[in-house]
Amino acid sequence: MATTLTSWNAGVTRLTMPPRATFTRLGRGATLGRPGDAAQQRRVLEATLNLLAHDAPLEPVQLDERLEP
Amino acid sequence: MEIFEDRVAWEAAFRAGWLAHYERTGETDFKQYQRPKNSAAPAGAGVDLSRSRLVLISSAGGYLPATQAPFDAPNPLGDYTIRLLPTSTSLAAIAYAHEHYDHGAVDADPQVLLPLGHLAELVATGAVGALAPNVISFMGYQPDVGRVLDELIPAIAAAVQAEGAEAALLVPS
Repeated sequence: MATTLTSWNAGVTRLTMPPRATFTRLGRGATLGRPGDAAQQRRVLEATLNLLAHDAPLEPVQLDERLEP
Repeated sequence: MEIFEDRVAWEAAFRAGWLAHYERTGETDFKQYQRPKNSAAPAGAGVDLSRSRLVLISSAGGYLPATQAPFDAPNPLGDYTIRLLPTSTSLAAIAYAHEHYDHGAVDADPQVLLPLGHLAELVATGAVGALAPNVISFMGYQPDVGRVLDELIPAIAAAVQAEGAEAALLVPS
């Protein structure tokens, strides 16, 4: 089965060698984005889901999404 | 391919270090905790998500207080069980039993961790073929990787199969 994930903690997640992943600069408890910021949440979600189209393993994709506006 | 390449060595270090300290003192010391590592990522074919059933897997500790027991969030040794949350559930009906992250963001907007509304929209537009009937939920504080391998992952694998999923999205807390 194809799997993908997103993580704000690249340092720890990278160690486990996930097959597909996006990394963000968001934070614990707000993995997909700022509360109320649907556009940011959708960007992170869609970038992560888009990886499913590709055969694994993939190099993790770094997204420039942050909690600070 | 093993899920965790060097389980034996990790477990020996865990028992001699972090676990021995906890059993001796009743306190956790994550300076003694060795993060699990692999050297290779698993291979696998991609899928056409527009024709696939997607299951959401969450480590936010979400559960339904009306019908389910909470995760054992205060337990320093972790909780390795799962709950199933129907994807039709109102986000307001979900509580979070997890003491290792600040709940301010998820209380203000549950979609920061459980993007069910966004996923429903993606199904409506055809970007995702279908959403599995349930979210697979667990509480992501689990220091014992051996128990993750022996208890949590088999439970998740069985649930994923029961959901008929062809693809999975993990959103950790």
